[in-house]
Amino acid sequence: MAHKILIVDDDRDFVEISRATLESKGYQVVPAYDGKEGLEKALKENPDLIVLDVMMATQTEGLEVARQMRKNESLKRTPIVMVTAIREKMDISSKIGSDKNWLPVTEFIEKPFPPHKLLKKIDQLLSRKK
Amino acid sequence: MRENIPENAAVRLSLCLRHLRKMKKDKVVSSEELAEFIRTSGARVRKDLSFFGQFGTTGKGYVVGELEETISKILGLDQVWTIALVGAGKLGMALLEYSGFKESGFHIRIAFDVDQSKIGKKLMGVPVYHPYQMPEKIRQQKINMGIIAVPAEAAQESADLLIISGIRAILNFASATLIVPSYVKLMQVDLTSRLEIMAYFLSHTQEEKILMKRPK
Repeated sequence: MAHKILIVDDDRDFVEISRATLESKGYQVVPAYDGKEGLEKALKENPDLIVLDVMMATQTEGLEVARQMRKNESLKRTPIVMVTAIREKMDISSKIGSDKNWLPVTEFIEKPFPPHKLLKKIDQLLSRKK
Repeated sequence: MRENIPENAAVRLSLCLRHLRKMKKDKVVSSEELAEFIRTSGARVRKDLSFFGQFGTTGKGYVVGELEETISKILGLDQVWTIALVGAGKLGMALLEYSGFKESGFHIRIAFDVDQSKIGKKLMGVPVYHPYQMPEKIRQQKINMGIIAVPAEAAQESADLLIISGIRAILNFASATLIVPSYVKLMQVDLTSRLEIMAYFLSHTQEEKILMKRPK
């Protein structure tokens, strides 16, 4: 059965490009366009992996969504790939992604990135999950 | 010099410094005298200072001016610390109006608030910006610390914004338990919680005991 990937991002272009790339490789993609919808779909769809943007309605919405997801037993171990332009824009040290209590995500990918980079990361994380 | 000293020792040194500032610079003060001011023992004061080396003259004490300078250096108060205030409501305004911060080297340089009537204006000489400008303004102004004085429901977002802006020390006045990375120093000032502790104390202490402890 195809792995299910939830993509949460208010940037519709990013969602569509990622969706096309992932679906062409056999993944099933569930899109969500804000944090609330993302959280609801994460609980309902039980995805194998979540791609989550940081800046949506607020500059830090993705951080709170990730924390809320981790509070749910079914999502505690689901890999979350956080995609953001924050680090590049704000020159933040790599320390920021290393504290799992504050930022409970599995990986960081800095925007902008080519679609195959996301695909490669997802392949890696899901093969590790097996 | 030791870098990691007990937090209580830093608090006691800060209290000592407050008293030293009121004294004549050339006076000699003993550890016992200082201890009396901050309600501890002379041995404790000597031990706190010993974390940082040898000071004073055995049996005589410390020259006030010299000790004041030394403690200021230990606490990092020989430099100006710049602060960003998040929340310019009633509490935030009270903090902006308090002159004691500046006297101790803490300067609130910028403030952030969502209130459109405040954004773009100066309050007590401090410019107010929208919180979304935080990363940019904090970097421009080389801000060291953040103070959160917003309602509880906005506190975590404020902390997150301060952290992604590069702030590593936060003083939180909001009644909210915040999650911060381990490398960020978070200090909580929860006035309601303090009052609740006092209420608990009064509720569980016999009236006679309270009366006995009241000053005559």
